[in-house]
Amino acid sequence: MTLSCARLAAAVAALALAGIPAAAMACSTCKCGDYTITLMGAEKPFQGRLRGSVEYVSRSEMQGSGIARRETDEQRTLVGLAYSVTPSLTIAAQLPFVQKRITDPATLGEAEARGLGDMDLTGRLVLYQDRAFPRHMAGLRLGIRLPTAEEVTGPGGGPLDIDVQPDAGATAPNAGAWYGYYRFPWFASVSATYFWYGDGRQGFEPGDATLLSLLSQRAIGQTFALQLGVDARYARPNSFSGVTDPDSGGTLAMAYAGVAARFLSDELLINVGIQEPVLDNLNGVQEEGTTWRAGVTYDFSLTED
Amino acid sequence: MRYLPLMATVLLCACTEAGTVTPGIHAEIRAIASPAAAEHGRTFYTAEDKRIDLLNGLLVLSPVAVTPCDTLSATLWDLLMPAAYAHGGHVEAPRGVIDVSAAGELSWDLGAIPLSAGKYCFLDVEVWPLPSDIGPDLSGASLYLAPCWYPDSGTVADVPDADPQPDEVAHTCYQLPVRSQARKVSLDLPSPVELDSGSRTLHLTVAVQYERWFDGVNVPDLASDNAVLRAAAEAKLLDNVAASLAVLDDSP
Repeated sequence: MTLSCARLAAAVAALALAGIPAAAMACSTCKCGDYTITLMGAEKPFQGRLRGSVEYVSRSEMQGSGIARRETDEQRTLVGLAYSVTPSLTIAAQLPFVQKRITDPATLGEAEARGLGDMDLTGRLVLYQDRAFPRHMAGLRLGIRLPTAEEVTGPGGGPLDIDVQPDAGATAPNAGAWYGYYRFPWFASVSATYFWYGDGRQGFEPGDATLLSLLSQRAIGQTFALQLGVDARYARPNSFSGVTDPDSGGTLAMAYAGVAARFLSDELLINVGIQEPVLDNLNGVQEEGTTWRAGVTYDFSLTED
Repeated sequence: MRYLPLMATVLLCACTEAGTVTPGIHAEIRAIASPAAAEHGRTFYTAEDKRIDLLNGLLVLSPVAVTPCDTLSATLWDLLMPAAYAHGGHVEAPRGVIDVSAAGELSWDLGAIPLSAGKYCFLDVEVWPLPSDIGPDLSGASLYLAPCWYPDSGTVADVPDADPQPDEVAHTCYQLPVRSQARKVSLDLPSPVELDSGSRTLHLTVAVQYERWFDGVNVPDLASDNAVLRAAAEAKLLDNVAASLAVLDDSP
């Protein structure tokens, strides 16, 4: 098997699709929802399928009040690769590159950092399908987040505040389940995943989190699809050196709306979407802003010599 | 597939850059033994000319706020910013254990407090109980003193340049843990200070005039079995500790 070099050259960055979660972020209200849900082309993968993606996420949040108020702006580029070992098993890796800026409006303090984030390794397993061309599919996902994030230092050589670091640097095994319904032009899915967080850097102890994602999709012809969904997250509060952060953890639900389009004989997929908070029961003083997402997915064409 | 290592190399090279940071407005606070106390060291005389050899002296001083000048701002400050600490509770209240009996330069770092832009006139500090790990018999004590008391000592002027050896003068030594609630003291800054984007750091030095702690205090009462006498002496001692604190003028 050899790769089609022309198509590979067209996709400079590695891509990821099925089985690739969006990289986690250090804050408790981030990563709302399960981004492993397959987009258009959610059919059961064939053995040997190689997919890659580049996804861009832009988000903001606010925590604390008064002198302790802090605003965070984050841009995250997620680069990943997925390979279907068998028609039922897909493994994937995703690495984020993160740019963060924190601002303390009361004290006029600011900090900015950029660097690699924590890598996600994921396996997605199809355990059930009702027929050869399935209408119903279900399975499990298992993964681990690895502490690959770089620790960014300041002008003095010491590490910057953990809030501005690309990621927490914590190991986080995760496990979940998913279900998909396929009936053209409709597609719907639901997934749930639990993250067990180990200790991060600088005494930061992220709270464990449960992610839930509901997505519906309707194809408009053979090229476009509209997407609507709800992503939710429940997280336990974070701690710093054993002291609980009162402005962390809780429940957040965000509505998602997006559009996807496929080109180049179904090998290239482009998606854009927006997440907006619709319901929250967050601890302390926290506010999540609008999240913008855009991504490109590419199936490398594998042909016999 | 052969391009994948190159892609990985490119990605890894798009790596970490040094971050940038602009410190927020804040006050950096330290405490020192007052010049007079430092000069006399651990032997000094009270206002009643009673000699004290202070073998040990421990207290915990915690700066809790730098407050604005005008009353309205100060009230709003207390309401809106009750704990002037950084995000998320992961910055603990700065708290310094001051050991006035330690040898060498008597200077203690009390930490930093974040502030917003404005004009400031006061530094609020609290005398806290000593840490629980400082000693089994000192848990809950706000102050620990080990003075030697010379009841028959004369005035400083009567003492020759070479002080009499301790064994030559009648004295009694005590070990005195003093227990009380945390106590807040508001100290005037030498002059109002304006902080803004162009002036972000305020350096404050709190002088501890420990030689004034025993003024008007009958030291034996601090160890008395008479609860009333002991309580009165402790109250006077703690008043003296509060009054012994002052913010120095560090202006050049």
